[in-house]
Amino acid sequence: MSRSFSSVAARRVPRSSVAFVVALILALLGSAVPAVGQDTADDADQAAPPIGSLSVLAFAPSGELLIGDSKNGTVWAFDLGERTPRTSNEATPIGDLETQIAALLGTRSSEVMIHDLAVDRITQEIYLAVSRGRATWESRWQLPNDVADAQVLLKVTPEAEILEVPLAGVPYRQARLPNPIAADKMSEWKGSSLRADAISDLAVVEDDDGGASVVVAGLSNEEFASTLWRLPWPFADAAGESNAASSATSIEIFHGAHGVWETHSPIRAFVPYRLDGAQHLLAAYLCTPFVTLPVAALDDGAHLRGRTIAEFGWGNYPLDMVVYRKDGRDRVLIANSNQTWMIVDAEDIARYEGEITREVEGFTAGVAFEQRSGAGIQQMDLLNDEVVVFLQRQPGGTLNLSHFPTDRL
Amino acid sequence: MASIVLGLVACAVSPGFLASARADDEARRPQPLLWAQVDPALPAFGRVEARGLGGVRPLDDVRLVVHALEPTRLDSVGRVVAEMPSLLGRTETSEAFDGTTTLAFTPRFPPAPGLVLRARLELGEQVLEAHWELPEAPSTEKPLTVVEGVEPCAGGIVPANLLRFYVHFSAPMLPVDVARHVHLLDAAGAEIPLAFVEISDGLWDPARQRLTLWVHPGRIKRGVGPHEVLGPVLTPGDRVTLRLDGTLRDAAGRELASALEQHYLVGPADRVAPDPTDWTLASPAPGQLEARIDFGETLDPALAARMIELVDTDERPIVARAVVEKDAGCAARGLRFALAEPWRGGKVAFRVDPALEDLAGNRVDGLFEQALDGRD
Repeated sequence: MSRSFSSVAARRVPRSSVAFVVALILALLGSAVPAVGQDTADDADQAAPPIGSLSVLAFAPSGELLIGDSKNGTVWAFDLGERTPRTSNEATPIGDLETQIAALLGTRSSEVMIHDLAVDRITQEIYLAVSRGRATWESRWQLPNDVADAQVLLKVTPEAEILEVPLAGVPYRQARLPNPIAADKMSEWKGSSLRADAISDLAVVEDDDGGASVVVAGLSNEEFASTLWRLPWPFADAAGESNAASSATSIEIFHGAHGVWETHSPIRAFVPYRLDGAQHLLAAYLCTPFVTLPVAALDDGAHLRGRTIAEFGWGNYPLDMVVYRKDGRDRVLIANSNQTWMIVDAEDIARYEGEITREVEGFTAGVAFEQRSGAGIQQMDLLNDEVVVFLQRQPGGTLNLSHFPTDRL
Repeated sequence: MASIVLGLVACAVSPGFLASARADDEARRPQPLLWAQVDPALPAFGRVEARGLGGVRPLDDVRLVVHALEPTRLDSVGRVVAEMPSLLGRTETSEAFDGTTTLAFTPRFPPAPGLVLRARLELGEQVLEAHWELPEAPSTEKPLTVVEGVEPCAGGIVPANLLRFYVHFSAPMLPVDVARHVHLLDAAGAEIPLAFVEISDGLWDPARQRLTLWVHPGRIKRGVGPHEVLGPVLTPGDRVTLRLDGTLRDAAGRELASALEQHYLVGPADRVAPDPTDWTLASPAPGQLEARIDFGETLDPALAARMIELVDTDERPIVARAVVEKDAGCAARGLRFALAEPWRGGKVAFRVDPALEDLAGNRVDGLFEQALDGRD
């Protein structure tokens, strides 16, 4: 560093060397006096729950914050309590969000990684799972959870203030996944532990009988590793020993781009959606097969073959998926690591009668999709029914928090 | 303690600050100051304290704001250029022995090396500011590079026609601008000019941890220009010193831990070629893992380690790792072979590359100096 700095105060007021020496001696002595004072930040008496990694964030329709913790194989549900609702289509964009977060965490913007984003639909605050340190990022296929465990939970207020979310003292319940994939199982092509994908996505899903469960996509230790767990919602207890009623279903799909049946690749993003009245999951995978799975078939110990209805192109991670409504029709919006925004008309999904069971010849196949400008979008969620918020990597390298009205998509 | 003092050196004080807060006995009151722990080796790294505040009471009107930012985010006097979030952390108050209050900010995470830590203490209208450049790397980083050894060893007698020095470093070196940092001095400490072949960036092994210094061959070989004009570099009876400046830099761009000086006494020239038929081979007994060769003279250590191999009676190589054995004066006098497998029995022999040299460059297949007219 070649620049040298001097203090503003020292420039404005001449430095008193006598006072300086006295204060210096006192400061040395004073440093040995133990602290007696109050804690002006979070409540030190309340320990935060032992979350291993903030791998996936989501909000339940009833407002609880759900945290998928791949490291512990646990889903945590935090009751954020009463909060003032906000309904506005206004959101404050933030340019170079990573630099802002770096200032909070005391590091460089290049070291900030954002692992997930979820909107609290009650307050319209944007929650972010963050880690500091991406030095071990060594493969273009590694996602943030492959590189580090997110340990910091932040939220962006509608006024664009970035705050840490203290979880100490917040009431919570938890549910442990039966048999999440072991930490010593490695991905040969990514060079990192598969445990990072123990939980790759989750959502609260209503079933056909009026009940609900937290559906968790990820990897288990079974031979067919790709798994969908159903954890009865709301969670029963704080200790997380509510596994008796949970289910695990291994998942197999045909991947038309590669021409093979796959059981090892986890679902990267899914949304619940009713097709002909029956609850389904619309799920997308790496190299972008697009699949439907009936929720009623997610029985414990069962092996379920998903129906591949589209191939949206290889060399691409689908990163996030939301459903919005425009002109009276539901549409599925997909953000991608290596492609533009994609929009799939839900009626096209419902009407599609085929199934991809052979290697496809072209780059895409099956249900049609439309493209929209929206390359480099790394995280996405709905702010409300009319606005989508997202983090987008800019040509200049910065990561910006932006929003866009869904009726213009 | 030294590191605490280091942190204090960077603090700033603002006389008169306390006067507005406590006017009664201001003469006996310490002045407030801002202090930061800037030694990354210490656990409280990044902690900022405002000390000498008046009285123990909830300091409602006092605000301590701490930033940790890349230097480009601050102007030339340390002010934050654009509005940036302040560092996450906890602020606590405590009472010092003199009844004053200390406000201490502990960051949630230790700040990254190379950032600037900046504190702003507000008490109503009064403002005290200070900033500290955090070291680029922790003080616990690996030690500076040193010279681990030189061949021939210091204190020994070297032949007047010595051809090479080898300098071994503890870490890879920067192969740039090396020659001007290497000197050979005479007994009076004066540099012997043109002592070494001038290779500006040095002659390095692939790992860049061994530097080879060639004594200028034109001054060794009799009858060629440099020798006739400048004379030999080394003359029997001389005392010379090999000097490496401490400013020689390693691959990380850091200077050496210290300069190096090695003293030598110059003996007679060596004008005898190495003769492997004079060497002694100690064959391994069946089941043993070791064989030895004693040269009976001093050879070039770098060449000896790779130009001699063990073979069996069918001249098939025996898998073994050769280590140069040195005498008390550090001269390469033999080789020890560590066999990969216990010896199965039978005779062993060795095979020598005829290009193997002694310290004066005399090869097995010929002398360094070959007189064209047959004279010695």
